[in-house]
Amino acid sequence: MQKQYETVFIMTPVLSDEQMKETVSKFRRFLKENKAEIIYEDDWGLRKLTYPIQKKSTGFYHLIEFKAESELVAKFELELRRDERIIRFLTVALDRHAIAYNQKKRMEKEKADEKSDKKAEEKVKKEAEEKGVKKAEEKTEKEAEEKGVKKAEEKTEKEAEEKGVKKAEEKTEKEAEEKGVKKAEEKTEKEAEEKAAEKEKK
Amino acid sequence: MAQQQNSEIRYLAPIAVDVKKKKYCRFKKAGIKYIDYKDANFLLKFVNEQGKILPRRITGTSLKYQKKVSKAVKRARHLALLPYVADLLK
Repeated sequence: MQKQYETVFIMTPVLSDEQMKETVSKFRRFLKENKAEIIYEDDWGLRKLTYPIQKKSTGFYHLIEFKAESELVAKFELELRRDERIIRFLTVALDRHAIAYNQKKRMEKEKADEKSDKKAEEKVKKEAEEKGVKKAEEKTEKEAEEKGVKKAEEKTEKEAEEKGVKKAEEKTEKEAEEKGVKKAEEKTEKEAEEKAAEKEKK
Repeated sequence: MAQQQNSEIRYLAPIAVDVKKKKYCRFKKAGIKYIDYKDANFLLKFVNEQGKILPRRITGTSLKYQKKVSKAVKRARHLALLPYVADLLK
């Protein structure tokens, strides 16, 4: 009967990155050759051990989740035990709750990854949009300014013209008034003179 | 008169009487069915400063889940995620 298992093993920190990957691939190959189905793999990287194992205080952790016949586990563990690059390992049979938990965890991780990707994309988009908006705003502002300037110029011209007209009108009015006044004065003077002349005649 | 006054001591605020909080099993309450041995930070809640597993009478965990907790802590210890012996773990 097939069952789902989960193996965590710790490799010595002496290994280089390539050697580490090679050991992992060795065990992966072993599982595949023995008709085991690898479901999930997780590389935890170099981690500090809470207590020294074989006088090492750090180790490369690696997790493999697989589905296999129960007879294979003993063989697999023997392989792990024979390899001197492995300093510690643990194989656990997963019950249905554990499988559900692992799946949920994986989903969350994927979602988090997607979210981070999406966020990055959204950021770029938003920035681009904002820039576009800003440019558009700047354009409209410039246009508005130009229009305003033109309008202002036109206004001043108009005003100047109007003022000129008004002034001219005022001038003519004033002149007219003055003339009127003068005329009136002249008239009164004339009248006075005439009256005086008449009086003298009398 | 003086004695009578003394017998009637009045407090501005009600005295804090120790009301024992009912302990509960956090796994039953939260509906957690699997305790992950890889999550060392979580298991730290069930371990004292020396790295010993805390008894049920302190944590309030039900028997069913206490067994799982102890198993998870022991697995974590094997993988050097938790210490077997420690001093000032927290």
